[in-house]
Amino acid sequence: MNCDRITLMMSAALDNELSPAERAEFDAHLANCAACHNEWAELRVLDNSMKAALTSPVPDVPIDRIMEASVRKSDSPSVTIVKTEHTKSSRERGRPVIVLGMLATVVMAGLVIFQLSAEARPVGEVTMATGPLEMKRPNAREWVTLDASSHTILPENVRIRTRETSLCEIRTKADALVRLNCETELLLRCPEKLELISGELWCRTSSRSSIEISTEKVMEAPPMAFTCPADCETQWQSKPNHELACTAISSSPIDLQIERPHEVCTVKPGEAVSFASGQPPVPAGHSDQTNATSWQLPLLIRKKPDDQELQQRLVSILAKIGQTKVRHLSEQQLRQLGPAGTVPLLKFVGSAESLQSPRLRYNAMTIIADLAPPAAIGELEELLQDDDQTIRELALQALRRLDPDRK
Amino acid sequence: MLGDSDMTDGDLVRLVVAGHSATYGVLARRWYYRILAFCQARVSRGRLHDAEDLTQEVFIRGYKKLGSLAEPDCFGTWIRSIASHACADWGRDQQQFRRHLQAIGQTTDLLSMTSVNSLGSNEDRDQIMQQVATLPDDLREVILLHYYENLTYDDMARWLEVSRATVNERLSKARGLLRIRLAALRSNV
Repeated sequence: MNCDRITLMMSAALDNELSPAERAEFDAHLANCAACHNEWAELRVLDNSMKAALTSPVPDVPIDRIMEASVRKSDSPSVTIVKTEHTKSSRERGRPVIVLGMLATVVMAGLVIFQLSAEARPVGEVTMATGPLEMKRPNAREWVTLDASSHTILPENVRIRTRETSLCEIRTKADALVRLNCETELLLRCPEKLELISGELWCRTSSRSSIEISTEKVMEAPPMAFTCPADCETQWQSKPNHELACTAISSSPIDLQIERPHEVCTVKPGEAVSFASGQPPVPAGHSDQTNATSWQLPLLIRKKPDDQELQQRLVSILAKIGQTKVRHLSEQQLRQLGPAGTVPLLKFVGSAESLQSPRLRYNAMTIIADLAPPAAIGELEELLQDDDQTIRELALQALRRLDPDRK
Repeated sequence: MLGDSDMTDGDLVRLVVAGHSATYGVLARRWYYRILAFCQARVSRGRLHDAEDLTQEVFIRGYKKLGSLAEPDCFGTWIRSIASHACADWGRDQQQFRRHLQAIGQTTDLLSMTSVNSLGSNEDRDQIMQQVATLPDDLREVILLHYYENLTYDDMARWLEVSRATVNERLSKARGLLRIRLAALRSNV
């Protein structure tokens, strides 16, 4: 495939509009052509800049002015000039307020006409948590405790923090998924801008939007800001002396755009890079991606047992048991999840896909045999009919543990 | 998601015509950014504030004429045709529009816009907006449509009434021009 054709494909590749076969050809060419790889990197930098210029934030929809002028009876049918308020830039205006008092009727089932102040503009929501969280709204003095079970809508410039034993997951309005480790504090400036105050977070950007991760503004050091491109996974850790470390979790290199100075730092899968204000990036070692993200397991097991991401993570860990120097660590990670962790493991053992991996099924069953709760009895009894004798024996072992009177 | 509705455009139009005026806000919100991109591609220098004023004008005209929409499910293409006429009126009466806005002290030059909560460089944003403004109309519209609305190529092709390949070609050209021009500006700094 020649470079001209690749260049023509770059825009579509950027927007995830290539077919899987085209994308495979595209990636294969980039891996072997430095010129195209550089052009691709430049295009991604441009894309991030365009998003920052045009979408952070997008111009407000002036619903109030449209509605007010639309329903005014004295309007002439000819051209009407709307008195717009340009004393501030459109990006500084507060969110539009619907003037309901002027209208004859409101509402239909299924329609939500809402009123938002600039402070309450939603930028994301907490989708799940393993324990209580704390939230502090802009200009508030106190932190408030959030219940772990509530789906809390997060307004602009809110601070959220996890406690010693709690994790949480946030989905931003830019469709990025963010997970906070224990004792982590995050400031959500807008759907595309996150400020890591302390602790550790993992972030997966959507296929269409980038995310900016920055450090807190402090006296001792100017803030640092990095743009993670669309469709990538990174993990960020706040370090002492206002340093920030980034680990690339994605399976392909990640081009982080660094603000001030404008440059791109490419982080390879599994590699960590440490950033300090005013200093060049410093390699900070290589880590196993499965282990690096294992802290998220207590969150992930709250998803549906057949959730694709959960199953993939479990399979990665199961594959390490008995195979690596850290095999005990891998098994320990799963055992620490307790009985709740056996639910997705049972889903895995019962899946048709797992039949291709008898060793992984065995690894899962040894944990299930020791930890499966009474609610799993039905699935365990089904496994008594499994074709694999070892699986049948371990299922029986679990059933006898749960019911000592069972023969 | 706050503010969204599962109702079709046709359902919403019929509600408004039946007297539920507030429902028009849902329609306006749904189509606002596409019309904004359309207008911004056609006003001189792609000035955002002029495009915003024009877009509001489009929706106000749309409200007044909604009863004449023969096919309510075609609100999107219908409001675009209104936008097309509004842009033509703007082109003819631009001076009048501007005089009026100046008289009431409501003009702001795009280049003097500042943004809150920005850790990035406003100079970069201004440079980008300037270069977007210099793109040919068809390339400017597809770039704005893509970044404002985040549509798929197929959706953009339907809206612009061109082929998917044309959407790809225009985005490629636009990005290519922007990349070269912005690199040239930065190398001259």
